[in-house]
Amino acid sequence: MTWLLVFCLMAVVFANRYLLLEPKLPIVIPGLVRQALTYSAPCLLTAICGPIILNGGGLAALPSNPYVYATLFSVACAYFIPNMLLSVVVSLVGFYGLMAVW
Amino acid sequence: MRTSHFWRGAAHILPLCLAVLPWGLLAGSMAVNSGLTPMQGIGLSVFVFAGAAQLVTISMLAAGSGFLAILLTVGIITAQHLLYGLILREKVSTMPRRQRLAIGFLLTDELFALAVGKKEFGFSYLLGAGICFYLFWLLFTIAGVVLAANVPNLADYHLDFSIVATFVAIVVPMIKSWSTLVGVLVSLVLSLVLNSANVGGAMVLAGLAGMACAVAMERWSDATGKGSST
Repeated sequence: MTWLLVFCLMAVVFANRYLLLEPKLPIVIPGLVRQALTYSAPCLLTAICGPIILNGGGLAALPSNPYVYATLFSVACAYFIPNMLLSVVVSLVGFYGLMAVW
Repeated sequence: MRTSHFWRGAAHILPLCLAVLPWGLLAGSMAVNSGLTPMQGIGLSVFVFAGAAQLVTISMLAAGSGFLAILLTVGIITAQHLLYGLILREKVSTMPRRQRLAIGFLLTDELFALAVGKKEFGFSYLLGAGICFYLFWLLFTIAGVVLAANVPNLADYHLDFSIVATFVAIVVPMIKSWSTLVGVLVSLVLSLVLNSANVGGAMVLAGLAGMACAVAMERWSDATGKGSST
């Protein structure tokens, strides 16, 4: 049963990934959509962060949620440190420092 | 097949491989914690190869959800890949079928994040990055399965924040206009609101709404002649 689910899930995920890479699928992309797609990377990547930042709590718990302050610190790191990898490392150090004293 | 491009792709995705270490460990350890056999836990990574989908599947199985409910939820959660396909379509759809199928299987959030920032990328580059990421994901899942037996409550280590740290480092340099800033802020706020309300497909909805607001902002500032670019 679980293995059947695994293979059905594989089919669903692969279909989502492959469908629009198939050239036989006739798609005309309107200008508006094309324009919207230029914003897809920053918007979707940000949206994926949402549930992690919530850290299992709700909106009311945000002011007392250390993930919120760590995220603000990460934004500052990304803004002031041009090297991406270094910026990630510094913001992680900040995060674990914060969690240690929280 | 360009070998140098293959290895360059593999090297470029390395930071993102490290960033999913916590998710891989979680996916492996949670699978075992919620009653899957070790082979089933690893099988999810081998065949499904989608972190968020795997974690949702495992938690839904643990909560006793039905077969169809899990398939539907995973279908919605991974619907953002349709957008990735649409964005990469221009370049990938012209490749031979075997190459398209390979890219289709390997098309994760991370591979997309890598490809979308590049003006020029070929099949070898994507394949190198995709296979490198796949192998690391398998390695981390297997490590998670092994760890689950030895380290209880892996979630207490807050490894998930490295996803946020990585994505923030990717997104912040992309914000070069007011419209992008508006799009990102709308996505963030809506993602927080919808996720805390447990709305299905919250991330897709939040991302799409952010994109729509960014376009509206761009058109508005073009119309008023202020210019949105800084």
